[in-house]
Amino acid sequence: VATTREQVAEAVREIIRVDLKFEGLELPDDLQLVGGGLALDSLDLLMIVTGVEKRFGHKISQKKLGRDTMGTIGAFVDFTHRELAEAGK
Amino acid sequence: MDPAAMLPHRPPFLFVSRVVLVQPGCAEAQWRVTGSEDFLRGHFPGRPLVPGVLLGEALAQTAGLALAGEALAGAREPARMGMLAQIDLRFRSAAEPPCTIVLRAQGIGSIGSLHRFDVSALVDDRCVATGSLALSVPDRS
Repeated sequence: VATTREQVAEAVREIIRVDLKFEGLELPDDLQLVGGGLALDSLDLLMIVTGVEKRFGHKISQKKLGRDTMGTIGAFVDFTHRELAEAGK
Repeated sequence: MDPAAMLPHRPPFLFVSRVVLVQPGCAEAQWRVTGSEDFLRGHFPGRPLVPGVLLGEALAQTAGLALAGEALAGAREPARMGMLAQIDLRFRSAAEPPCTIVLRAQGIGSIGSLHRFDVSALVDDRCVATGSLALSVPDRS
């Protein structure tokens, strides 16, 4: 069964809340990961990416990570969902 | 393999006694704790236990070996000093000397100069610590 966007979104929000310790925070799709919004640093981003990779058993190429794929929570969820769909997961 | 040839740490702050396995992105090592180490005099008098904070450092050094393994395989530039950037460990049981602690580090991802590892420490096949950590390898400049 293919992973749904909702499953990816839930996983990303759980990683942000639990692993990055942003518990109790609203995490809408348009919230910026870098800069304003959550103002995450590169270690936070690494924890999100490796957390998603572990949960879904899919390696994400470092070359694909950038402002367009990790600008907001929604952009990263969409990107990860596409990656998983292309990998048949 | 001599750990001092692969890590910048030196006694009394080198906690890898023996390198068992080094491959790109993963490593296994041993820390032989004899019971005569100075820090055990105070941790704790009459009941020596390996401090969790030193287990964390030993696991970080093992992750450093994994980075050195990537350099040996030509997958990255020669090893530079990796600095501990993040660590999240759960201590499952006590490591009571004398004992040999098996240290394992498995790379799970990198972004730029940051490298994240799953790590575990075992004594006699019993898990004493498990978790994850990240090393930062600063640019030369």
